[in-house]
Amino acid sequence: MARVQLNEVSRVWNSAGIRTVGLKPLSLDIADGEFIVLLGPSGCGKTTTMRIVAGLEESSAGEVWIGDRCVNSLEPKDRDVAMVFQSYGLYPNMTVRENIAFPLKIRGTPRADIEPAVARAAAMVELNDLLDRKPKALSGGQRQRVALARAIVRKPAVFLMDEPLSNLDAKLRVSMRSHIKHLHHTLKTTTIYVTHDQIEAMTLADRVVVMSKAEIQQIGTPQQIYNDPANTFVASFVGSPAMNLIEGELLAGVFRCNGIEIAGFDAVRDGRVLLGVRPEDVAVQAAATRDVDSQRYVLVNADVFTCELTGDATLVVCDVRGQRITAKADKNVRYEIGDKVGLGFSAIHSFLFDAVTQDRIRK
Amino acid sequence: MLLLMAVPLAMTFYFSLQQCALDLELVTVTQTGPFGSQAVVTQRARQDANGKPIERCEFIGFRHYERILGLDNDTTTSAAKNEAPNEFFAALKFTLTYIISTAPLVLAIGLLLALGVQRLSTRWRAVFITSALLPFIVTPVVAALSIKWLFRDNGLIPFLLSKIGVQVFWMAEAWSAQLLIVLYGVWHSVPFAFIVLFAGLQSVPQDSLEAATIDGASKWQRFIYVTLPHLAPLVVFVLLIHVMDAYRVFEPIVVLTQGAFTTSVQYLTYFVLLQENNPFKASAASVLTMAGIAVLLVPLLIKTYREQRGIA
Repeated sequence: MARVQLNEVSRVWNSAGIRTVGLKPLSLDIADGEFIVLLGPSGCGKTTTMRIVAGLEESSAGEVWIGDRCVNSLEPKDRDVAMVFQSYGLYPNMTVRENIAFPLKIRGTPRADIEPAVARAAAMVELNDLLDRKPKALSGGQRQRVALARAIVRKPAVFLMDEPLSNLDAKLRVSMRSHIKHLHHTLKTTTIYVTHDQIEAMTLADRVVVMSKAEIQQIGTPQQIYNDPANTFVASFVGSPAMNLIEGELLAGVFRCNGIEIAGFDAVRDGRVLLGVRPEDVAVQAAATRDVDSQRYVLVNADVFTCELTGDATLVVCDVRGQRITAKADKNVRYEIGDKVGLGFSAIHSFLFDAVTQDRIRK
Repeated sequence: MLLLMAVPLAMTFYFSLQQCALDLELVTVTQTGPFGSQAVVTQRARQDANGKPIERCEFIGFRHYERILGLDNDTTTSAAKNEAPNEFFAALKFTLTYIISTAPLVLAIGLLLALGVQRLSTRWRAVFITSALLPFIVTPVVAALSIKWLFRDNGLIPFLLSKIGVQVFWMAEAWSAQLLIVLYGVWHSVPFAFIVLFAGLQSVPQDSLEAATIDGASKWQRFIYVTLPHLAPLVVFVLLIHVMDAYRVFEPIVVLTQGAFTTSVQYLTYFVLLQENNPFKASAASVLTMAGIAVLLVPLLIKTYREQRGIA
């Protein structure tokens, strides 16, 4: 149980005279018991951040605090953290029992205390029946549960999870996700979780830290990240399918692009902007009908490019004068490729971003 | 495989149970020279209708084996008396001593080198690996010769040793000759162990190492609990190859001592073949050599087989 603070932590590599910035100065304050997810594409610095907290990587500058200790000069083992790795990081020559007991054994815990602790940790991840197996006799999901048990057996101050579900198949990922969520609810241990999967971030996190290009793009609750993105990167990275971004001109509250004209914006400035609309906020209707509320929506004529059925919804990808727009419609909606449709946009359900800085234009 | 291995083996075994000799006859040849004729009695192989010499083969069972193993009580065969009666056992003993003394050294030095090179920068690694592989590449006879020149009576090393007051005639005594052969064996086999273990070190699971770091393991504990178990199958592999190699140790014995103080099993076969001019007895020695290999290797092979099956 501990609060984790990062103060202006950065990482720069110098090799053969080439300076690579792995992490720009980053500050983060993680509350005790919080589940924080570092979300971003590969190479964005999220894993580097976590490894600096773990002590596996040294920061070039800045301080890391765990609880009331500055851990910069501490060895990984003295930081009171436990880590779960993407490829499990188990000890293949040991049984599940020995794997889970390893952190206790290596720290000289009395033998009598190890056995019950291992049993408790194994029970938490439902591994009791597999204790005498070797890791190679386990499935991916079971292996990752062994790694989880090994992490919780010592009751560390902080859990670090580095893409723990990335090696699992889609179905297992969902069930392991709920395992982890439940585990965190039970143990209430501060957790830092690294992933590139925005669904994992949305479902697990108390707060999400969206990272890109070695720096933080936005910190917020999953709702804030989704409903109030700070820039085009966050807007397009979070949400599936990704948000539609249309480049155009804003003039006196009216967005114009290639003949598309959407009024109703009360933005303070004019100029080149990007209009962001989530697919579920784009209304689709057959071209001839007018059943979309014309008070709220501006209708634009479009051709159907493809129509994808996902099961719970239909994704209609349309072509609006060279611009691809994805709309999420009801699962019963069917269009043929080439059909003429009308797309409804609404200023209320759209975001405006500066075309140059890519930052959100707020009212 | 069956044709290449089993047939020659069976043939060798078959030969080793026989004793063949040309069927000789005495003939009187009249030699006629400028100073008259002279009748000379001489031996000649009897020939069949086609003019081929007739060979008479006799099935003698395990008599060759008895002679080689020194179990032969037939004192009438003079050859058996001249040979040391248990030369085969002496050779086997030396081969085993050689294996037991070189194997741990080869593994230990190979592992230390691999760990050392692992810590070097990429550029120095390349240099070191290339030079370390040289003993492995050099033709064994050439290598053994160069070792011999280093140690011969007025060679470099005896010269340096005599400077500090140690005088050893390396080629003249049994223990020093055997030590040289062991030294040569280690020097020649270490590069192989090194390169295999070094390759193994490249694939040590980094995740497990880092997990162990966070779990609280020291450098040494990480080596014991993660690195070494990872290398274990390779250690067995190196051991297997080394034992097979050691069984065939031949060149250093021929070059360094001409078999004066030591014989390896391989050397014995060669020697029997050469000196006896009796391929049938040599066959028996070969079969015994094979039997020895089986005794030495079967436990290792069984272990490897079990491991492989365990993984599958």
